[in-house]
Parts: sequence; structure tokens; C-alpha cells
Amino acid sequence: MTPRRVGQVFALAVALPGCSGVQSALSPSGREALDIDPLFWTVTAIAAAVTLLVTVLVGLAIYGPRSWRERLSGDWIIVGGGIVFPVVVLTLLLVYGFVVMQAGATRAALAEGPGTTIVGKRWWWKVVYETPDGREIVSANELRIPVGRATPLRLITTDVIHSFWAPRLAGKLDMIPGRTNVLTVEPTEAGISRGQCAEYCGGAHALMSFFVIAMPAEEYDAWLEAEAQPAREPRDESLAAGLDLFLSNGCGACHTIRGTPAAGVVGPDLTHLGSRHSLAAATLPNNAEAIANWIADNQHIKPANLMPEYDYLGADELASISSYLASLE
Amino acid sequence: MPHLRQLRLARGAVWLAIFVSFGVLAGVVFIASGAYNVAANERHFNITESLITFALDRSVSVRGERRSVPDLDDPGLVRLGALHFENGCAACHGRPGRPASPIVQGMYPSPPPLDGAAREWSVPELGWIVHNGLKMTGMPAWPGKGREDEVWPVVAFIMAIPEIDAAEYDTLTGPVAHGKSLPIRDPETMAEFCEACHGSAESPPASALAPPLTNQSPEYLYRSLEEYRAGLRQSGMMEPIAAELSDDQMRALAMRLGGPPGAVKPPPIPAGRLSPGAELAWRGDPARDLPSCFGCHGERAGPDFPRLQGLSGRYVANQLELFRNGVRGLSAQGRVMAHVAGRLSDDDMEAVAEYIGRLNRQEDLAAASARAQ
Repeated sequence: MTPRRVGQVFALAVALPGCSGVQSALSPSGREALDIDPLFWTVTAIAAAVTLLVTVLVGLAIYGPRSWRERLSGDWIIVGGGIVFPVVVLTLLLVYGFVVMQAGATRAALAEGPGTTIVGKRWWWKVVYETPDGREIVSANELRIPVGRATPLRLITTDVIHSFWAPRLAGKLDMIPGRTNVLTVEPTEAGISRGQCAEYCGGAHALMSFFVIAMPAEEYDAWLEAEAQPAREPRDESLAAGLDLFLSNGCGACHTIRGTPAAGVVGPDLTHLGSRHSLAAATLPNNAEAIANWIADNQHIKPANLMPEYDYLGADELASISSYLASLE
Repeated sequence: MPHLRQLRLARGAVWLAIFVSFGVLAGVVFIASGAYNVAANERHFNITESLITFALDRSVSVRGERRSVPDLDDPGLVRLGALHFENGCAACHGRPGRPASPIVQGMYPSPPPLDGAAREWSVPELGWIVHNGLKMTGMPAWPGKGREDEVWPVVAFIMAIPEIDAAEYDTLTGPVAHGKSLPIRDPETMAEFCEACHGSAESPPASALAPPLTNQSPEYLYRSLEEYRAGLRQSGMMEPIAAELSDDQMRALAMRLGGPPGAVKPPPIPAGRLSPGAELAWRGDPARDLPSCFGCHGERAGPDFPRLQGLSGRYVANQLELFRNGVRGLSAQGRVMAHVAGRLSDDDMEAVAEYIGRLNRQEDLAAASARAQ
């Protein structure tokens, strides 16, 4: 091995533990992902064993003692190793895969509660929670979900095909125009993980991510009740000035802040923007400074997104609007 | 004897080279010595002039043929064209029944009086000339880049010149009567100058293409003038006017011509089923990512946002097209509207322009009936 090659292997060895991060299918924290996990390891182990076996046999066939080479040149190796062995192994794996998928499908029958609708948009997620009494609570770019409760996620799209993938919760499921695909997820532990769109959907596809916040069921119920409330009134005059600027610059034509005259439905609902873990579909951190940058420079941050850039606003006006939006917890 | 023929050919080529070299040398000596007279009072030879005229005719008619012409059958267009003609063209071309100044007549070629232009040129050819200008004649190209739409009122007026005498021309141009040319220092006179095209609280604008200003806030009018002056908003009619104005004059004009801030409230949302235009204006079309017009231009709109009520359908349609094709997308605010207008289809623009225009008429009717009582 050249020193450079050693370096590459070392880099790989260092990078692999990174797979156990917030967006890793290798550290499942949901029922579906836990079901898929052994399937993944089984397939990986079998594939590794077969690779090893084939490598050894090839080595023997080339460099081995004459007796081995003669034995390996018989018809039996083609029939046995080329037909019987793959048919048996792949059939078993297929059946195993069906069983796992069946488990996923039957989980839908165990679904509790009204569930949540997620709409794929270029390039963000509209998230509509439903309360037990039938109210629809619109939010965006973040999914809150109760631990230990099988929750149906209705996946739809209003533009192109997207794919909803929260690796620690479950496998991918496409959002297909004209269809509603239901994915039932059940987190097994509380915590924050990350997901993203897994189907190329246009230029800023890579900037279409989201955070998943799994919460204990009672906490989730309390949170949903709070989320259903209108936005809090501006606490002081400077925040009130921010709301005024938000309205007078026409932001309400596209965005809703419940409890204010802003009722647009083209862009994400901002009623409780300040309580989310990220901005612009997990593209930016969520703070006043990032909000101001987004308002004035969003085409640079997420090219060709639907929002115009309000770069005519002065620094103080931007600060005022963004402080108000950040205060909407 | 083939070699003798070759020799003759070679000799001929040498003589030709010598001849051409002398010709070029003579040309250089002629130009460098200053012997050629560029004086405007020294005419070209007749043959030169015929050649130049022929080249001009061919160039204009070949290029002019390709353009499509809007409907010019609209008295408002002739009026708007006359007003711009007075401001931009009359100094060189003279006015119907009155020749241009003797100073201009000393130009060579001298700008022709336009009495006969309607006979000499076709409508698309005139449009091409007004838009592109003519090289080496003193005829300038239209100043507003991308505003080919603006040349048609002027063409409509030129086509009407044969039926217009001096008295009628004065009636048409009214407050922009000759002699009252820019720059104008007196604020009240300047305001009247603006009102000649844009109308006032008492009189409608000269044409549906000139927006009335009384519904707009002083902040918006000031910003518009600033954008015209800075070349951030394109108009061959407005840019030359804004170029003559100082900041203070713009501020004074905006205050004098605009409505008091917040005085104009949008009409209430109509009850019942909405027409496609009203639907877009009030609700937009979220399925196609279209916000509503009044979402930004409504009751809560900021002071330097334009108000839509009072604008004619033709003006709205024209401006939406300019936003959509990016001509009105140079200023920061223009970019916001251009970003949204890019999503409008032809049908959307037609429907929404028709609705906004109708809004205006309904309001006029209501105001007229209120005045009558």
C-alpha cells in the first residue's frame, strides 16, 4: 500500500462512525427503521461472506495446488455455485425482505390518532398536523412526532416527485403527484434526528431537509395544543414595528401568521417560526440574523426558490422584521 | 504558346497592384490633407445623396417589415403621441403647420417636417425608425431600453398629422404647448406639464397608457422618478423628463401630484363567486404559487408600494408584460414584482388587467353618481 492509499483507508475509517449521526440509517430510533436494520446487516453480512468465498475460490483456481485446481474445474461448480447457491440464497433473502415489508404494511393498521400530512414543495415541506378534534394545524420544515405511538404520515406533493426520508425512523417513501402515500412511523426514543428529500426534484433539491423531533406522547400532545394557538402578540413596540413592516411589505401575501392579517398560503406558515430548529428546510440555523439574511439574499442561499429578495429593505428594517419572526415561539 | 499567356497575366496583375496602391495612397492623401469638406452647408453630390437615400429606404423597409403592430385606432394614443412629440420631437421636426427653427434647418440632412411621413412610410417602418433612430442623421434611438411598446403612440400621432392643423395641435398638446420646454423651474408649471399626460383630480389621463397619479402616494411617485432618472426603470417618455429634475423638484412634484398617504383604500372584496381576474387579484392561485395582487398592494401596503385602483386595464397589462420580460425588473422593488410576474400566464395577465381596469370604472361610476347627488 502506498502512503496515499493508507491515508485514504484511514480517512474512510474515521468517516464511517459519522454514519451514526442525526441522519443515519445505522442508528435506528423508530420501529420501521429497527425492522429494516437487521435486514440491512443480514444482506451486508451475506454479501461479504459470498465475496470472501468467491475471492478464495478464485485464488485457489489460479494459485492453488493442482488437486484443488482440478476439483474446481468441474461442472459442479457452475451448477452448484452459479445456479443452485444464488437461487437458494436470494430466494431466502427475498422472502425475508417480504416479511419485513409486510411488517411495515401491517403497522398501518396499528396507526393511532389522525396523523400528519406532509406536502413536498420545491424546496420545502408543508406539514399539516391534525388534532384529535379535527383541527388542521399548518406548520413547515419540521416534523414533531410522539414516541411509542404509530403515527400515519400522509405524503403528497403539489409539484414534482419528492421522496420523504427520515433515515432513523423509516425507509424512503416517494411523494407522487396525484397520490397519497401513507408511511406509518413510531419512534422508540425521544430525540432529534434529520431527514431529507431523497428524490432529485430540481436545482435546490440538496437544500430540502428537515428535522424530526420525537417527543414523549404527553409532551407531544401539549406541544400540539400550543402549536394550535395563534401567534403570540408582539411583546414590545420594536417587535410590533416588525409585524407592521412584515405586513406593509406584502409578506402576508404568501405567508400566514395566525392571529394577524397575514394569511397567504404560497409559502411556509410562520405562526411559530421561532420554535423551529432550522430555517429554510434545514438550510440555515434559526435565529434573527439568519432570517434577515434569508429575506434579503435568499436566491443566493437557495437559488430559484419562489420567494423574491427584499434587498431594498434597510438593515434596521430587516433587523426589525427578523427579530419579530424569531420571537414567534 | 501557353507560357506567353501566363506572362501576360502576371504582368496584368502587377499593373493592377500598382494601380490599386496608387488609389489607396491617393485616398489617404485626400483624407489626411483635409481636402474633404464636412461642412453641413456643403451638399453631397446628387449621385451620393441618391445612393445614401436608397440604402436608407431599403434598410428601413427590410427591417420594418418584420414587426407586428398594435391597434392604433385610439384617439388617446394620438393625444399621448402628440404630447411626447411636443416634448421630444418638435424641436427638430417642427409642428404641424409650423416649420422647425431655422437653426435646425441648417442641419444636413435637415430633419424633415413630418406632414408627408404617413405617405412616405408604412406604420411598421415608422415604428422601426422611432425605436431605432437613423445613423448619421441626428435621429436618435428611443431612450427607454426594451420599451418598443412606447413608440406606437408617437407613430399614431405621425399617421394623424395630415389631418391636424396648428390650432388642433395646440389643443392636443395643451399645457405642454410649444415654448414651455424642459427644464421648467416653476413647480406649479411643472405639475401642469405632468398633468398634461397623467391627468389630474378633475381630468382623466391623455391615454389609457398614461397612469393617473392622484391615487398614488408621494413616496411611490418619488421613487418612480428616482428610478427613471437613474435608469433603473425604462421609459423613453419619462427618462428624459426625470433627467431634468433635481431631488427637491422630485419631492415637491411627488407631494403635489400624489394623493395623501393612506387616503386610497382598496375596494372591498366582492361578494359571491369571483371572476377569474377578481380571484387572482384577491386570492391569487396558491396551487400555481401565485400570491394575490392585494396581498401586497392592499390596504396595508407600505407607502412606496403602488396602488392598483385607478389604473387602466391596458396600463396594467402593459406593465405586467414589462415585469414578466424583465424590462421593469432592474430596481430592487421591480425585481420583487418581476419575480412574481414571471409565473403569470398570458390568460392570467389579461384577466387580472381586465379586472383592475373594471374596478377603476366602477369607482368612477360610484364617484360620479355621488357627485350628481
